[in-house]
Parts: sequence; C-alpha cells; structure tokens
Amino acid sequence: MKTKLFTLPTRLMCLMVLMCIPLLCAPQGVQAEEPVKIGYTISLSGVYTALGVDLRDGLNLYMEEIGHKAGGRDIKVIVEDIGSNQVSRALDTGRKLVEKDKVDVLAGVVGTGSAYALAEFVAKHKLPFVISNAGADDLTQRKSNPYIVRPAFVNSGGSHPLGEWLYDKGYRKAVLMGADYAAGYEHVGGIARTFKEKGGKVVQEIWPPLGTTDYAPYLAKIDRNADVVMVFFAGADALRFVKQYADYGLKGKIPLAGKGYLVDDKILEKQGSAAEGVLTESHWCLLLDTPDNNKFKEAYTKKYGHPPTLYSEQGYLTAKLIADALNKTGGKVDGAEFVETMRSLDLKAPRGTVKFDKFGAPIQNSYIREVQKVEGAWQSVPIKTYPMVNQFWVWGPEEYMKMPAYSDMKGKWAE
Amino acid sequence: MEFWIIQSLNALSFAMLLFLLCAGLSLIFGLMNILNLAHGSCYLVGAYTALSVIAWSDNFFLGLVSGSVAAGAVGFVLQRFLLQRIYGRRLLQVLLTFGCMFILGDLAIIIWGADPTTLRKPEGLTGAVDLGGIIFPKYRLFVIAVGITIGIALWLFQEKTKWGAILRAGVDDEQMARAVGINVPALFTVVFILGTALTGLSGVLGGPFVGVYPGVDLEVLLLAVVVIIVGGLGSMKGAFFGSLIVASLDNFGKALFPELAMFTIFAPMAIILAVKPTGLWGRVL
Repeated sequence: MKTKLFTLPTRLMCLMVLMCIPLLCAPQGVQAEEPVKIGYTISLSGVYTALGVDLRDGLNLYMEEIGHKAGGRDIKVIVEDIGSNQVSRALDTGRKLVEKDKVDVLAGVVGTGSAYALAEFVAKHKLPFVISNAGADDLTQRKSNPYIVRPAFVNSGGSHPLGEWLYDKGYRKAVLMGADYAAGYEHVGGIARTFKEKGGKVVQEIWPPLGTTDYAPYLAKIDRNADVVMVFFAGADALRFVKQYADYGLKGKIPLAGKGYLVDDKILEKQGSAAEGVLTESHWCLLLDTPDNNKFKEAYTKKYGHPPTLYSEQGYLTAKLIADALNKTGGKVDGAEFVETMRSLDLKAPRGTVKFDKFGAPIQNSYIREVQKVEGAWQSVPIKTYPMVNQFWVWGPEEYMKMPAYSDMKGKWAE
Repeated sequence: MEFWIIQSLNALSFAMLLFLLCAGLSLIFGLMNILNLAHGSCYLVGAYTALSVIAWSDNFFLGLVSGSVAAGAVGFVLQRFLLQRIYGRRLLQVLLTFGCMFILGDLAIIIWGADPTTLRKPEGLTGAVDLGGIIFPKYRLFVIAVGITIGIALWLFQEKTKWGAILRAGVDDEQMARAVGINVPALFTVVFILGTALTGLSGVLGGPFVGVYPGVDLEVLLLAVVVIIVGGLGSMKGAFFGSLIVASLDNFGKALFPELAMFTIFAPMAIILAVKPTGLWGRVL
C-alpha cells in the first residue's frame, strides 16, 4: 500500500510544491539582510589575463579593507572570467549573473567590445554598470546610457592634455602611430587634436595592425625630420615597439610620446633602457607621492608581494566607488538612482580626487611622465599634473560631440 | 636606396626566423604526415625556458641550447607517448595536438605568468650598426647569419650524410624503407625531436624582438602554416624559399601599402592555394 501512495506523479507534485515554498515565503523586506551582490566580469584567460588578475586583486584588497561590508550590508562579489574579446561569452555571463545570481551591480570588463555589448544589456535590465577598464570614448559620449559609471578612464580623455603639453614643450611636427583599431584611433587622435589645435602639424600617419610581430617595416618609414612620434600601443605590442624603436636607432633621435600603456610598469622593466626618455600620460602612477597612494601601494605590496599596477588601482577604485555609494544610500541599490548616487561622489582615490560628469565619465588628474632611472630601476616619473581633466577637455559636451569621432578621423590628420 | 636596403635586410631577418620556425613543421609533416598543431607551443616552451635559463646564467647561448632541448623534450613526449598511439589517423592527430597547445599554453601562464616579456639580447649584439649611413640592429644581422648557417647545415645533412639519406628514403617511400631494414619508428622519433628542437631554437632567437607572451604560440603557428602552404609541405627547400617569399611580400607590402597590412601575408597564401595547392616546392602527395 505504501508504494501506491508515492507514485511518480505524486512525487513530482510534492517536489514542485516543495520548490515553491521558498518563493512563497520570501518576505519583501528582507533585502537589508541579504548581501549586495556584485557581478565582476573580468578577463582571466586570453591576452588580457594579466589585466584581469590585477583588476581582481585590486578589488579584493579594498573589499578586505572594509570587511566586505558597506551601508550596513554585506557585499558578495561573484568573479566571472569572460575571456578576452569574446563578446558572446561576456553576454552569456551577464545573463547568468542577472538571472541566476540576481546581482545588484555589474562591474569589471577589460575589453571594449564586451563593454558595448554589456552596456546595452544593463540598460535593458536597469542594472548599474561600473566599467573598471574598457576605455572606448563613446560609452560615455555618443552611445552613453544612464547606467554607466567608469572609475577608470576614457581613451582620448588623457590624450588631450598630452597633445597640448607636447606642443608647449616645443614640438611642431608629429608622426602619428597606433595600433589599427578603435582604441588606437582614440588614444592617438586625442593627442593629435589638441596638438593641432595649438598650431602643431601632423606630417605622417602610420597604423600597424594590432599584434604586429615585427615593426621594422613601419619604423623604417618614419619621417626622420619629425620632432616627435605620438603613439598608442599596449601589452606585448608596446614591449616590442619600444624595443624595436631603440634597435633601429630612433631612440634619442626623435622623442617618443604616448599613453601610459606604452611603458606600463610591468613591461617597463623588460623594456629597460630602450624606454629611456619616453614621455607618457596616465591617470595613475606608481611614483605618485600622496598619502592615499602610498597607503594603497603599501597595503597592496604587503598582500600580494609585488607593487600594484594601473589596473590594480582601477579594481580598487571600482570597489571603493560601489562601497561609498552604498554607504550613502544606506545599503539601497536601485538601478538608475544608485548610478546617480555613484556619479555624485567625490572619491578620494590613490590616483587623486575622482568626480564624474553627467555621462558617468571620470573627471580626474592627468599625469605627464618621463621614463628615468630612479634608484637603479627604470620608472615613469611624474613631471607635470593637469588637474581634474574631463573627457571633453576645453569644449562643451555638445560642441565636442559634434566634431567627428576619432575613428572617423583616421587618415585625415596629416594634411 | 637606403629605404630599399633596410627593408631588404628586414625582410631577410624575418625570413630566417620564419624558416627556423617552419622547417621543423615541414620536416615532420613530410616524413610522418602529421600536422603538428602544438608546433607553436614548442616555440613558446623554447622561449620561456631560455628566459629562465638566461635570467639564471646570464648567458644567451646557454639559453639557445636549453630552449632547443626543452622544446625537443616536449616533442619527444608528444611523439613517443601520444602521437604514436594514433598513427595515421589525421583527425585525431589534429585534435590531440590542438589540445596539447592549449594545455601547454596554460601551463606556461601558471609557470611564467601572463605578462608579456622579451628575451635579453646577448652581450655585444645590442644596439645598431652603422652600415655607411644605414642604421640596422646588430641582433637582426645575427639572426640572418644563424638562419643561413642552419639552412646550409640542414641541406648538407639531408643531402650528404647517411642519416639524411635514410630520412629521404623514409619520406619517399616508407614501406620500402622498412623493407630494406631502416628502423622507421626510431627515425620518426628522431625527426620529431629534431623538428621541435629547431622550433624551440627559433623561439629563443625570436624572443628578443618578437617577445614571449600568452598567445604567441597561436600567432607563430599561423605564420608557419602560411609559409608551408606557400613553400610546399614536406620540403626543406620549400620552407626556405617560402619563408623568403612570405617575409619579403609582408615586409615590402607593409612598408609600401600599409593599409593592406592584414592582407600581405594571407593574399599570397590564398593565391597559391588556388593556383598550385601543393605549394611552390611541394611534393605531389
């Protein structure tokens, strides 16, 4: 008789009823006791692995400092590997984080392609989106949406002061050189625009493909009468480019200037003397001597056994941004409103004060640096600070966005 | 004029690197009909091993030797313990070697980290030489010299030694070679080791200017495949002249028509595939 009571359909029904219990019982006001969930999507495989690791370590350091608590609530970070340049994987992971893990905030993202895809996705789900790295201009310009905050950088944002500074330094004829993709056009275009605006001239543009193994054919082409070569290369490309630039006897003949990625702290030691004198701009430097930065460097070095990088600081600031906003809202996370709170903050970051404009882009210091030998090691030494630079530089948002985007300016700088 | 000389030297140095890179791949394919997709991993292993050895010993030439030995050891394990089990089954070989590439790539990240790096150049070969107004890096001249030397040595080995004769016999007709008493399995292992060691050597030589980083294995595999398609599978001559052609087209293409950069290396491959699928110097299979 017993067996008859529990036939398969009955069992299934019991199971279904049991499964419904948690749904029915979930009280509406329990939110304050549940942890705030942050989905942190970063690259832990593929070419961006090194960046992803640092972004993760930086975020973890800050979370540990605050004991994974802010605004009276616990914080739970769910780290997900979205590979490098795998847009569909980023979207799948985003969906998983929203539908299965029910995250309150989405953060991270190294690559621009994934960032654009996720930006559309978060707008649909009304989810705050904290971009810890991806720098594409239009994420907070022509394709902005009300859910984005970026405690990192805008590609061309730091390029503007650099272009002006290079002109002020006395350079007049520039060669532009950058990896042949959107980020290359934006980083280099920003330098070129303000440089030309002041009266400088672009004499040549060279765009080698991303991941060029051998820069020799391009280096041999560089106009030897130029005053300065303005470049954007990153990662393994930057390492090769700077070394090959020196190999071909260009170092010391034509000054090399570019964005900080060219002599990233981790690759600088491998570039060694080849990088001597390279002029770069960055929104953070290892050698920045402020109490906030020194405290961050010390804590990071103690925990991980090596000094932080730009990406570690961005991960750290991602955590701080979310935590400070939670403190302000008393633990309430509510789509666009939470984003508004984040954008209204005055963050005390290792890199200096960071504010946000109405598009969610950072307003922050821009540091001009030169590679010098300090205490036996090659380092990027800050030599000039442009305080609180915003993404539109001296222009207003409307005026700026009416000008052609940098991706459309490729090939038109040299006239 | 200066432009042409510099670009020709560039092309030549890149060609020599390509030659060392794909000689092994071509040799192995020619003899055993195995397309070894873990070929790029041998480059990676060679370069990373040399990185550690050079850091420890401060001697580039020790790095060259150890890089080749390490890559050869990987080749030995791959051939002796894995590939021999699936001899003659092309699809399985491709999948197996492709899988090995991922495993070795991830192992390298675990051991050496994910930061891009380059090998230090040997003392005395840093900087550039002034060839009557033409500035050219010394190290690249060294690469050209090594490439030509090894090319000649391989040719002499193949054409003038008994081992070379055995090798050619194995390539031309494996069954006949077995029939006249040649130990073909041993020959296979030796050639596989030789091929992968050569690749390791190219990794060390290329290390100072191409660099070592996660993903370089796939990039060099692609280059090697392009060269052997142009030059012809299984022929040393094809590997040598294929490298020269590909490197020259690539170099002059990039210098003269930079906007076609992505095109210069693959266009010749596509044309050759359409016109002469066996490659310029390939054997008809």
